[in-house]
Amino acid sequence: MNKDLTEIDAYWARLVFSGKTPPLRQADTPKAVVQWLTHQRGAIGYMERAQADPRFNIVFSLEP
Amino acid sequence: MKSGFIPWLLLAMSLAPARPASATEHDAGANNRFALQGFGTLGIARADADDPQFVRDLTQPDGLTTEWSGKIDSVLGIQANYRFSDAWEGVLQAISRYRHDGSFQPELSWAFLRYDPSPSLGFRAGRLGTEFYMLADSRQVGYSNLTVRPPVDYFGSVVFSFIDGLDVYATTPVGDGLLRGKVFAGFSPEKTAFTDGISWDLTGSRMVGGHLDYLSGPWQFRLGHARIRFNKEAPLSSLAGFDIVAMEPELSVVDTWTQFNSLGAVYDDGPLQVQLMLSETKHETASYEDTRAGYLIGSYRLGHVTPYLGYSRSKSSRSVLDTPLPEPLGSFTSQLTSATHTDQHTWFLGARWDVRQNLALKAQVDRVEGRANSVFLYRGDNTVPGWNGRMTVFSLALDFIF
Repeated sequence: MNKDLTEIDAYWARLVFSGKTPPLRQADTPKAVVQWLTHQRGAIGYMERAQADPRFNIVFSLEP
Repeated sequence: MKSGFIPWLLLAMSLAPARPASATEHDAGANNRFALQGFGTLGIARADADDPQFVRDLTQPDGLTTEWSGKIDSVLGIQANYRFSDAWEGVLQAISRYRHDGSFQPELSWAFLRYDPSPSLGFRAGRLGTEFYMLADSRQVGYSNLTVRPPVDYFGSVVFSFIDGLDVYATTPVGDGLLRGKVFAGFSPEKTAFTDGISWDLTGSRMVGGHLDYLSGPWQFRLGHARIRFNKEAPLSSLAGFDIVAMEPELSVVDTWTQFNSLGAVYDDGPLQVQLMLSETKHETASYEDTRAGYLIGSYRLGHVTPYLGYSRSKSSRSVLDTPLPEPLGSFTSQLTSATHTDQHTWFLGARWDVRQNLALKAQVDRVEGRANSVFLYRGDNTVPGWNGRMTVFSLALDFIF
């Protein structure tokens, strides 16, 4: 992908505000992200790298 | 990664096959069903001439002068999404921008129900943004675009923002890439500016169209077609002061089709992005000249700043009447149709600075080089003495989403 965060935000803004996709779901806690990902087959989410245990595949990594 | 810089996000676009909705509802919680978001632009711009007036698009009744003005690019939009289930969603969007009657009165720009029975097929019904050209349905969302405004040579004559109707979209893998298609049909609920002080009622005009996209690696291609059949006469006779359309029926637009054919290609690889679009607009009515347009934009991201350079062009061909009226009416009708003449190109240079997440500042200079008879894409007095088809426009825009 080789995109920075603002480019991803701009891309999502295009999708959301042209009605192509629902807005991103925001979890209340990091734990909820893990819970959602483990219960939803094929789901994709953002999390801190430290939480990415072997149950998950890392498809993209955002650098600081 | 800075702690707290990235909120805890889940991509709602799940790749999973259809499954019971209850699992998601349980995990997502009720507060995730409803989302309220917005976008906006605070834009100021000025030109180096008072007439004719540069506009963002021809829905606007008047445009820039040599004074800085916030009217042509400033926009505020609010959108509510409600997710009934994984497959059903409702969306409402209202937008306030400088419109045909010279006000910023908000309009309902999207209001639809969406049904996605699978990740590769979907339907929407209600009020929908028109996608006559690639990126056209997000052209008011400055934050999602690179330039201050969509190139006027290309998008300026598209006065259709939404339809009341439906669309169907589908996606399938082909080769190494993805083939995506959409068809739409509906009726216009809009009015547009015709000249300053006179609006053209487009309501009830039938619009149909569709496009095919092919996405592969850094490439994205689009082949598009859209057409509109006008329901009401353009106010040519109000402009003339007598019923010119009755005397010259070839000027009538009622029940005539206008077609928009387009090609688009985007190359997007890391910091480098190149966009190329070409279009052809054909009218059955003789009151508008047929036009070809295109643009090319290249940009390269350097950290938080993305400089860009663009070139756009629009050129129309003279409208010829089969049975011209005798003089002096013949010359008069030629004057009316040549008000839709364009023959110009524009160089634009600018930069987008992503100040922080969800906030971008842009600066842009446009240099329009045209013939003196290139007047279509302007408002104001286009018969002003000394007009040579050349204009410089300076723009600043602050784009945000919330």
